[in-house]
Amino acid sequence: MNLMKRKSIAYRSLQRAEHILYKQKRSLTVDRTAVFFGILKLFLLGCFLTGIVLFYVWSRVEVVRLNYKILEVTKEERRHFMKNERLKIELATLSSPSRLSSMATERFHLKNPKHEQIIYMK
Amino acid sequence: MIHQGFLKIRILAIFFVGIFFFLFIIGRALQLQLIPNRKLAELAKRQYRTAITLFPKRGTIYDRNMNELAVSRKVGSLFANPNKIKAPKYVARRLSALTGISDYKIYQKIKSKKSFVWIERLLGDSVTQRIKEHPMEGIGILDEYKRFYPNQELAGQLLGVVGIDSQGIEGLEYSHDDVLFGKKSSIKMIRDALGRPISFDETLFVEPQEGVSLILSIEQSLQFMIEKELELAVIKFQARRGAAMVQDVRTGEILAMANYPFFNPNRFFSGGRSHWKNAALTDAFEPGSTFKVILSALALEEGISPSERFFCENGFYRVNREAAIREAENHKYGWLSFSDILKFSSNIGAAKIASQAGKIAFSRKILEFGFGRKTGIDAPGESPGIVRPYKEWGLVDLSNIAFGQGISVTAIQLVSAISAIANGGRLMRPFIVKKKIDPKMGEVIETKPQFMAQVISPEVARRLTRMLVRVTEQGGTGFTAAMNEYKVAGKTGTAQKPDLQGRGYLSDKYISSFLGFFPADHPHYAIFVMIDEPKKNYYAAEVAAPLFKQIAILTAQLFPPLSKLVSQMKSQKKAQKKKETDFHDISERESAIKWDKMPNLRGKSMYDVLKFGREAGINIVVRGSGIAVDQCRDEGSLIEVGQSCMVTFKAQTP
Repeated sequence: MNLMKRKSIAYRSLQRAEHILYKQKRSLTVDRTAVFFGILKLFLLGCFLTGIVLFYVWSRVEVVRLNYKILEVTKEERRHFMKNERLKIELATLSSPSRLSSMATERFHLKNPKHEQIIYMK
Repeated sequence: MIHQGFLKIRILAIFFVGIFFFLFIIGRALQLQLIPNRKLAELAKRQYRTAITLFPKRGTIYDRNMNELAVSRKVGSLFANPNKIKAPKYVARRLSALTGISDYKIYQKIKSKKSFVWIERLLGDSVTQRIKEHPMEGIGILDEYKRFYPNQELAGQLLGVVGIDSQGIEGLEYSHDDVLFGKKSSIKMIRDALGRPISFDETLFVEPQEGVSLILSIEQSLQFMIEKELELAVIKFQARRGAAMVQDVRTGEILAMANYPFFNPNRFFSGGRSHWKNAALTDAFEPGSTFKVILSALALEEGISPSERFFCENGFYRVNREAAIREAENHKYGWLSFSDILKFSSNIGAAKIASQAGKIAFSRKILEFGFGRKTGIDAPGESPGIVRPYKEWGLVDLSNIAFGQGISVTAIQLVSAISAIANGGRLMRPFIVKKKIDPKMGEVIETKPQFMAQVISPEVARRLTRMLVRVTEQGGTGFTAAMNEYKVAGKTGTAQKPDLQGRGYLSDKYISSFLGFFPADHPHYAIFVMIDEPKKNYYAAEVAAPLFKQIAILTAQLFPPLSKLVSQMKSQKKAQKKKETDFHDISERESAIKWDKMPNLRGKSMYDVLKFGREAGINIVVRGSGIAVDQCRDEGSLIEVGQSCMVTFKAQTP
């Protein structure tokens, strides 16, 4: 009971205080600059947070994009590497002594040099 | 009416049975889930995991000048996941049209319940491309390494072959498989309930470790030319087969090792398997008269002088009651010096020398030269040959072994032995793999020449060399092996082949061989040639010795001995000096006047430019190869003897 009483007394005294304030009819001054800066701060904070989120999303998209690019370039590199390997074997086959020898004799009608015709270079 | 007490008991019984089963199931579930069980874990793994083994790139085999002899490269292999193929017959027909493999064969493979089957491995590039252009559900291409031998049959038996999984099965590919193979890698993939692999593209990033590459002591061009000469000789004399080998006497490295008939490792299943083996190492044979070289080394060491004379019994020598020795070609020699016994290849003389030296000493010397055991060459399948213990030798055996019968040796043993004589008695271990290159670290491991034993003293080696030079001189059995440029030391061998079914020797089957080295005054190269069962002619002097000469000429052209280079330099300097001082000779002066101005060398071949350099006495510094495109001095500018001039050459493009 005591507690209820105390609560109602407190409520009434509060009403009275408000009443006093209104009775005085003093204008309520609002600091617009502070409000502006407050809103600006909130806006900037919002922008900052949005920026971070957007940056994070962009970075993730970029990572995925670059991964695809790396994959593509890796595939391309492997394709070139395999082509290079194939060409190396082709070169070795084309420059094999048996092929060169038959080409030299049959196509260009060359002959083996005599011993005295050979000049050794330093 | 059921008694209520009985009903209660029944309900309780059912309740407890239920509880018991429930607890049993819970217990079993806990046992399976919580207590580790390897067998069950394996079973589970097998259900949701699949592994594909990736084979590494096999190391390349190069010749001594870094020309590729065996290379691996990736080609496509066709596989299928039969679980994903909805219409196997249709897929088989389509694949058959693309690959040329019979559709029945494909269907047999893809109708299985497995999740991975190979349809055809190591396909050609065009087939792989066609399949890639026509993708099908459940059909894929996986890259695998295939071995290529760009020079076809060149050194085929020596290189050997690899199987479908890149494992070496013959030759150097087999003996060096542990280093050439590299390290396998296995990619494990998790598959879903339908057996589909998840994250299949991982194959792109997992690279197995490449194998070690080998650089051989073989020289590609020399090997090719020797093979060609060997082929010509075998065909000319209608022989069964032939072998030839060149060894550097100072280091023991093998420069060429040829066998005929050839073997192409690119098509190793076509042709008989007998062609795979490297007969120069694997086949032991009775050497015949070439073995007299070993006897002569012993005789010189035992103090027998080259001029000491032996009576050669006029061509017929009865060793004991049952056995008699005759000379080849029914020669009837009387008294011959030891040196002439070698020169004319007298069997009776050799038998007498052997009996004078004694079987214990002869047996010891044979073993010291490395016969009867493997030489330790780094190629597989080497035979130790057969040398019976001297305790089993009778008088006939001793006489026969003196001229190379009753003993089996390999070509590599013979060439190593002659190399030891050429090398001042120093027996070197023959080797083929000159260097090994680790692809990861780039580390190069070089094979060091390995000294085995001092088999004869340098003095004995020198005296024996002089005796062997006489063999290739006028009147000697090896006269046809003599070269114009260099002195040759060597010995012929015409050996009858033993009858493997019965006793004795076959009257119509011979092995014709020549064993020697050159230049005799500064030995560099030892050569052994062998023609097995020549039909047209069988005397080594006419079959093997000319082949030796051809091979020696080719070797000298590609590897000019130092003496040749020195003499060429000397003659060049002499010519220059003569040009500088000798102005009395009108023709010389004219020649000097002829080249007092620089000609236009552009468009000329290297041979012509070097010829001009020699004639004008100026030192040509060569840059590049092909046709001359630039010269250091302008056309018409004055030149002086002894000047240097750089000439740039460039390959002509068609």
